[in-house]
Amino acid sequence: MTGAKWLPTLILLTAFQVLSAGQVVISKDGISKQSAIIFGLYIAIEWIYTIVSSIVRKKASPALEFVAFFLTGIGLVIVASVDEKLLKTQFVAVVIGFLCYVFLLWLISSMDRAMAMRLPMGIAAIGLLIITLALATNRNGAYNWIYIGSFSIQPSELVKVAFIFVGAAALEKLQSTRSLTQYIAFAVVCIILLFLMKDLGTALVFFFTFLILAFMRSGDIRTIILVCVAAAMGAALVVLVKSDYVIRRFSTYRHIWDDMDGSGYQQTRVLIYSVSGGLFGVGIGHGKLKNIFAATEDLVFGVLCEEWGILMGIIVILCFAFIATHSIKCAIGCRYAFYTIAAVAAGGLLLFQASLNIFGVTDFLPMTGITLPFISRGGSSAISCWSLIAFIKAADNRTWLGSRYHTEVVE
Amino acid sequence: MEFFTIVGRYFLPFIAFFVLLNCAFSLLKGNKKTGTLGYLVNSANGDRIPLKGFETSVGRSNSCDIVLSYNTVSRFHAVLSKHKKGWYVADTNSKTGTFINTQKVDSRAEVENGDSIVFGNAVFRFVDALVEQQMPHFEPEPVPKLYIADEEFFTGDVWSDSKNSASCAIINDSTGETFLLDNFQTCLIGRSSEAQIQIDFPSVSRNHALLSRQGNRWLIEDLDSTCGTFLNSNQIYDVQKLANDDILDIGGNTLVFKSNRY
Repeated sequence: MTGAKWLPTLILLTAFQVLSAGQVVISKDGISKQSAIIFGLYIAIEWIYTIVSSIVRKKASPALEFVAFFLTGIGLVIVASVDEKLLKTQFVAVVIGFLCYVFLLWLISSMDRAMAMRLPMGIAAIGLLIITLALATNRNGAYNWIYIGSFSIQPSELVKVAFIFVGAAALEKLQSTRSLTQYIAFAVVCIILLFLMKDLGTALVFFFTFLILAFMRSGDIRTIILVCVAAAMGAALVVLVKSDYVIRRFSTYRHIWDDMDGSGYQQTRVLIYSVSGGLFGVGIGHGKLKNIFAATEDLVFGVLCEEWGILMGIIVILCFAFIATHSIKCAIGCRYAFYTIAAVAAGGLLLFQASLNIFGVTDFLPMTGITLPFISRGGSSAISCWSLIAFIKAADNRTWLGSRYHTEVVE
Repeated sequence: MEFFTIVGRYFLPFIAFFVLLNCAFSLLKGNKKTGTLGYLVNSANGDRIPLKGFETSVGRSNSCDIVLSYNTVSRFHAVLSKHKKGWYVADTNSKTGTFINTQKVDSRAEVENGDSIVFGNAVFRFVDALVEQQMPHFEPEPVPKLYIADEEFFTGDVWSDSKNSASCAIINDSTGETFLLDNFQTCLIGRSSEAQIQIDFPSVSRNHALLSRQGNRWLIEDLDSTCGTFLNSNQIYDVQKLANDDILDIGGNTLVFKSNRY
């Protein structure tokens, strides 16, 4: 999909967003100007980016960004349908996330620059986690949120990006044993800090990412050390399970109907309302699940199925599957090992996070409080998801064809 | 309003499906195979190993892109990478070091078309496919005539004393130098000035190996050299007989033994 070939897709995507946003912008009370402007700006960003991108990177395919814009757009409409006041904040977060994506893609376009950023990234990540641990207040049993005035951020989301960045830089072909040892130390410190925050969901995501990174570095004795560290982290997870908050979640698991107005309240409502939505949903903004706590965050998949229909739910799941498959496809024949490792880790992380969320709310897995990438409301989550997309984008050779950092391939 | 909601309910999944369908084709395409970007030509046997990635790892480990089963090559020895400005060789903390034209690579060094790259004691010549492509008639410099006698003398079955008095020779494949052995009973190979066959190369020991005559035959023996002596890619630990066209690897230098008798 290069050149003008992307135009029909972009028009379809815009039509989708205009139609879905229209459902919340136009109501019985009239037209909401603020929402209309925000959605207008969002679509404008989409178009400007695609046009600029097609000029700067002539051979790059914008398909990955389209999927990200598609999912983010759904998320914005859901936020607007539940509480219009939150739309502005979420939109600002999405814009910041998008800018992070552009910046990160520029940063890693030069391998020398990427390697130079390894240490500052690592220090910043650990520093951020330590600050979180010092300043965080208890929220749903975990100490992973920092409040600055009326804003709240979840630094562990941002650390995900640094975790993959530092991991891929340390494990790529050029690196020596010393940097590998440093990375293992970095990973262990990150995970320990997450345990101290009692953030089970994020710890699980980090654990899974660590496993992917360890797998990418195979055929070496050091892999065994990596896996051993991974196992130690698994053991630490078990220790964490002993906390009351986690025990409560695990006791609910597979028993949500036993206490459907208590501990199983959220999941039972998700299942009931999702089914009531049917194939095409009850209509955006007409659902009942939005009145339940964390409707736009943890339960957003339920809201999607109820209001937009199961079909849309399946399409969203397919989106995550395609992103992960794309990252693996690109990893084969990718120019630099750094891109390969980062892309697979990022794609895997997004898919794993989506699975934890969807299976969590539908009671296939214990609920972990993990957000659904791109769709769930949350500024930190939006920034981290968009940043992760940069890693996958970098692994696609088409991104760099004809750019000034990378030469053409001799066929 | 009602109508608008209904339109949204039924149209949105279909539009979404087509958006995803259009993107899916591009997403599932994956990267095209990279063409051959360069070659590593094995100086010992002339094998051309294609470099098909922007980064190619070289080492003894099976997970390396190019696996070199030499004792002197580390598990992860070096990485050859293509950048905008050219090709680079990075030594990944190997024990025996990586050399470009006898210059040791500290961390990273640029390599150009035709340069010799030595991993441990494995010698390769680097060929940049782009440079080779731009010079369609490029041919490597012909190896200078290796020995003074005509080819028939070395390949023929019957040895004629009248044609030439020389019967055995050692040819340094890297430099093309020929050393006639006939006037010697023993011949020292090494870096020291006393060596008859002197090879000034960092990975060659001062007294590396000894050639000695036993009747009509020449024998080779390693003198506890640091990097070892290899006869036809096998490291030798005791005295070995030499035969025509045997290849000796002395600290990354390929020597060919020529004889018209055996």
